[in-house]
Amino acid sequence: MSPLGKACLAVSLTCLCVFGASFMQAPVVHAHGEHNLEPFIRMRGISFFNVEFSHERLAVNETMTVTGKFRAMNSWPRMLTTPELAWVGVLVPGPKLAVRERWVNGRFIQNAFNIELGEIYDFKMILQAREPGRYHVHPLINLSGTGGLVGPAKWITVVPGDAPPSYTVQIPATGETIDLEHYGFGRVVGWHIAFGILGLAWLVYWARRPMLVRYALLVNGVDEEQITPADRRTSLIFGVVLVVVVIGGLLVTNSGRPPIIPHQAARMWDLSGLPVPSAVQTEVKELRYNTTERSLSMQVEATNASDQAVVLRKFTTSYLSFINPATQDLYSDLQNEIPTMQVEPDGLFQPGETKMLTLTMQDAIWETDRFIEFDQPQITAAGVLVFTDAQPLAREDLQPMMMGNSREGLGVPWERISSLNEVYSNIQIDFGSMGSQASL
Amino acid sequence: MKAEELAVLGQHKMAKVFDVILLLALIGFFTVIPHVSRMLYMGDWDFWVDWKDKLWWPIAGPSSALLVTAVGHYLAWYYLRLPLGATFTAVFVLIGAWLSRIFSFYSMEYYPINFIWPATTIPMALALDLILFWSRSYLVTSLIGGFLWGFLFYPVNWLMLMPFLQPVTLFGKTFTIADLMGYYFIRPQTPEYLRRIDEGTLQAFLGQRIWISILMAGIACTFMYWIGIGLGKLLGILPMRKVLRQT
Repeated sequence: MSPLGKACLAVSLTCLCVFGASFMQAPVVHAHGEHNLEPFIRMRGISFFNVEFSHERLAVNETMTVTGKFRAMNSWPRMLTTPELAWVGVLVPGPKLAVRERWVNGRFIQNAFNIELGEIYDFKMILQAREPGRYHVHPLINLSGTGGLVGPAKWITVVPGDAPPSYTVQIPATGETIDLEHYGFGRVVGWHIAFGILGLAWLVYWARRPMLVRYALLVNGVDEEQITPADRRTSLIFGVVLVVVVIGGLLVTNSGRPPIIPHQAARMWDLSGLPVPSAVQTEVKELRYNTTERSLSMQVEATNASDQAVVLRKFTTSYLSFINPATQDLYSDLQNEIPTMQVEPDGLFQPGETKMLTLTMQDAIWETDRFIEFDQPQITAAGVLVFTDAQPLAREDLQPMMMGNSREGLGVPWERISSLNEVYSNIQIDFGSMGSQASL
Repeated sequence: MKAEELAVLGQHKMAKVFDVILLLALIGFFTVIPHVSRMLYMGDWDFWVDWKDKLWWPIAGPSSALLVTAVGHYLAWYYLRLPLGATFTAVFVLIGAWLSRIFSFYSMEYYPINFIWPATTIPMALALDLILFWSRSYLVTSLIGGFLWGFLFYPVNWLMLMPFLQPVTLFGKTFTIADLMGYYFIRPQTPEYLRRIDEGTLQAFLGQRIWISILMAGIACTFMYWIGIGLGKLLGILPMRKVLRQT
């Protein structure tokens, strides 16, 4: 082998090894939008809270419920189109979980729906397991002009079930009950085969004769002579068969066909947001991020303008929530799953009381999930402060929707939200030490 | 070399081997390239049954499908005087599309196979080849064959689509069967508001928008045919002439 050949072989083998090694070293990627969207879109786009999954494990054909709320943020980035339409779904790798129902603010959602900044929406989805596996499932809000914003995720394990999933539906006009996973496929295959046979027959007729030599003949002036009378007769037969098949097919299909309609694209333009409770008035004084401690601290002046005592329950932004530990006893189901924050001074807000609160949220996720990036001309943060009544309520005392999610079976109290206060401000950075991103 | 000698040469074993090699190369090329072209230009209208509407799909579908098909159609006639290029492309792009749907959409993503069937262009391709064969004229073929390509696309595929347009209800809302499939078998990155179906200003003409659509498709394909011919000349003939001149 020549030196050049050896060099090429060496380079090729090296590339192959690097390529193979990259697969062995590849970490698990949660590429559902937790990291890839710019921080300001996630924090100032949609704030999810009270997201709950009814199951972590279910069998094929079983259903689970995903519920939650989200606020379309008033601090929406002005460089993006203000969204008009939204679509709620789940982010899964293909339809391994089928979406059987979608509800927003208590209304069944067929297609997309209108969305208003500053409003709160309560969603509920019924998912049905189709394929065994382990899936990282997010609730997902797609916004027109922007794209998808994901909520908090949970790993869901689907195990084989006793029966395959069933997607039957009855056609009202004919009374026929059909299976959505297979209906109409026989007709599709039949027509593809019919037209395929016709096309292949035409190809075989022509391609069975010498091909390359035809070019040489053409160059030598043999043109029309390559076409025989038999070719002309055959072409006429194919033409007649084609016309008969297409027109006959249309006539047969049209005769006695059931009622049909165009695809339905009806959007819901009259979906109102839920009333935003505003028992508390807040004003952000300062947002500060400490690179050494990886903590975001917020100074906010809060006044309880209602006639009931309230308590600061949580700060939520994008798919993150930080719980006030003083409220964990009220809602014990969440304490092992959601990070906490320090609140000073802590305790109840009495009616008419004003406090200067300092919230400290220490978590590496600010940087690992790119919520705070130093490589920005303007570093901002936004989120929602959630205040609740001091005591959880019994279910029968609740008005629908605003008070909480569908938590049947979870055995935990419901939560009455007294106030939802959006906070948005620039962040001051304390470069106590050069963090990993600071070098950027 | 005389024509008779060339005809004898064509029966030689090596000539047949070269024919097979050429055929295999063309199958590979015309399976992949038109498939990519269709994915790029027809995209979701070809992927999903609930995108197959009667306003955009009848126009976007045949126009984009004709582009590479016309290349194959032109080159087969130009080099080999064989009226099979369009049919050849239509058959193998359909095989490629089915392979993609079965091994990617169905096996990996688990979409129901009846939700993801591709459109066929074989009847129109056969018509295109036949008209060129009968007329020996690209102009006539573009006017009649190109028009038929666009005009017949919807009716031919409607034979398969029709059952999916029957109305059903869920929680009091009306869906087509295809809509309901799209509702259940979720496409997270293709939210419903991106679905371009039956929207636009062609809603006049006594509600007969399908006729407007397929007439427009026919006219668009008459022009698209020439773009395909131009592309074939640019990529398949001019470089070859240059090579032949240099050799």
